[in-house]
Amino acid sequence: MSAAPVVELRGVTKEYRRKIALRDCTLAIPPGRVVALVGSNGAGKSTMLRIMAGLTSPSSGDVSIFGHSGALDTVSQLSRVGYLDQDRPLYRGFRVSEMLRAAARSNEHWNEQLAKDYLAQLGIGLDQRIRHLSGGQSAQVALTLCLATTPELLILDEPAAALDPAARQDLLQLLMQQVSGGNVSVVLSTHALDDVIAICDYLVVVAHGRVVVADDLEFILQSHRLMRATTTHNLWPEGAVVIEDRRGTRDGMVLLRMELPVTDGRVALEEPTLDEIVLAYMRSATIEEGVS
Amino acid sequence: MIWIAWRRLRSIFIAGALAVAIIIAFAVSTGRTAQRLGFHYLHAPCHGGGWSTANNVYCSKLGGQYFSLRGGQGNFLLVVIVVALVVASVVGAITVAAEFDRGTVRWAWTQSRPRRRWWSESSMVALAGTAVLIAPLAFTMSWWEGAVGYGTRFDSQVFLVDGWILLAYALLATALTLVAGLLIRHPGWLVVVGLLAGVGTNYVVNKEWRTDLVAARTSIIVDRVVQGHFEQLPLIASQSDLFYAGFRPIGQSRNPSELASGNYNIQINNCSTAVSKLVLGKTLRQNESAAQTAQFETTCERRLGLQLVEVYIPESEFWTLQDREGGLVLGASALLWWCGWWWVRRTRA
Repeated sequence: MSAAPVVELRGVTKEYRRKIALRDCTLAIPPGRVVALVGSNGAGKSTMLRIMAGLTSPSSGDVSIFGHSGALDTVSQLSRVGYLDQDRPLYRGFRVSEMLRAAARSNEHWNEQLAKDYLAQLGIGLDQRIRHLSGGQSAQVALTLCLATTPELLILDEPAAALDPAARQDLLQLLMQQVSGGNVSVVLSTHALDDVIAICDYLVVVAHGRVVVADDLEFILQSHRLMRATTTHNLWPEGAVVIEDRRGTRDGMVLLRMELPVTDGRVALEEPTLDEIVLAYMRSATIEEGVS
Repeated sequence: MIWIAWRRLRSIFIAGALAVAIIIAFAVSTGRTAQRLGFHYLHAPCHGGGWSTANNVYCSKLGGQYFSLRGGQGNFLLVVIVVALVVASVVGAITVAAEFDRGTVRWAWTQSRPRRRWWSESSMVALAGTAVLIAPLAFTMSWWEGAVGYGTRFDSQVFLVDGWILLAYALLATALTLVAGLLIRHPGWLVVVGLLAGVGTNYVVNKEWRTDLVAARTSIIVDRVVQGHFEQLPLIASQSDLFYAGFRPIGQSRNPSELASGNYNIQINNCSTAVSKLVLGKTLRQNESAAQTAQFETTCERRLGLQLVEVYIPESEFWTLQDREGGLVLGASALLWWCGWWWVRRTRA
């Protein structure tokens, strides 16, 4: 029997005044995984993460976190979830030590030593003012605060965005340290598919407010194949579902999702990269959206 | 959260305390000067007027200084009210709207503290801070108005904002900007809203509600001629809060609107002119015959079923009015706070 999901969305739709951010999203995130939420800008990733973090409620549908439906509003529920916003909001007038003090006073399971160790590792002084930190340092302080609350579920909205390679490496290293240290589930949104390969083991692709793929990363890589098609005939292997047909373009490739093992040796199939799979799903969702 | 709210507001509190300290220093200085000038002006040799020719230069100069200081009373009070409301609004706006504006609410609301606790603790720090800042100012201004006005609490027949009512309006401005911050998530706009709402509420209370807070007194003014001079008696005390002076139908307790009041004046004038023509065969010029003017006007009042009234709250009711108006404003502040407490769980970050 599989463990209960840490996050479950059932038919979640989020409408703003002039825009539908999420459409009928259903998703179950298994425990102990590092989940990558991938999609183009405006696809609805941040909205989905904010709904998970209890910052906003869905217009329709249901969300449950650790089996609890409804908004996170008790100390015990809130202390199990850590959230890092994409804007890394920190009190700009505070010193780093004051941010730590603020977090310590606001969290049940605050680990002061962990926070200080991480900051020392990153070379960020406690007496520095937040407003004087670089963008990368701010992101690292924000992530440190989030990690030191020792949550069971970490929700990170583009944690490595706009960081230089070194800062990004440090940040991902911090994250991996935390994840490897205990039973922590992570949901992070990102545009960097290299990061996904490096640290994630579960992939969710969101396009135009819909969840188009949600599965184990390894399974996704294994179950998709590229076929170089030279004819206009649809001679797909048995059990193959066409995700994207680009025969009319220069590369002339077709991405297939294999629902059965390939037995036909005459068909030449290649292993796609994660980029190719993700892009194919995003483009196909765009086409469907255009048609609908 | 209490420490965070305090730390966020610390610089605002320091700036506010500095502004309040400057005002208090100025008020104490001018108040003591006014007390000294008033004492010398009202006692020998000036006696508050009617001094001998030998003291003319001294007393005229003293009177000029004293009345100049009293003349600036309203302007200074206005500055104090505006400063108090701005400080109170800034405190409220920084507490809530700035959290939304800078996105830090998304940090605050994802810590292990429920939103309502965040609201309660943050808003209590803001309200307590406003109280600590404005209470000494209100206390000082009460003393100052007494000192400058030489004991009177109404200036030019207007109820002054002093005593703890200044504190009540400041708390209302803070409560309003706290709640409105959940909707208008821009601190700059919110300060303007808080300031306008504070002044607007005071205006509405002044115009519409005060006669309901303390039973206003009504004097029926009778036209009389004393030693050939036309007078309207009785004269109400100049230190009173005057709401209405004009004609009103006999038996009506509500004050007429400005339009109705203007119409009554026209009716009385037309009637007096008609009666004058009928009796004297001509229209009386102003002050031509005080006795006949008074007589014609009285006749017309009777004929039209009107009476000349003055509606006012006497100075003896000053503190009763303070307590009731202040209580009402504090009640409104508490209601606003509760609205925020209810709404904070329903809004999004």
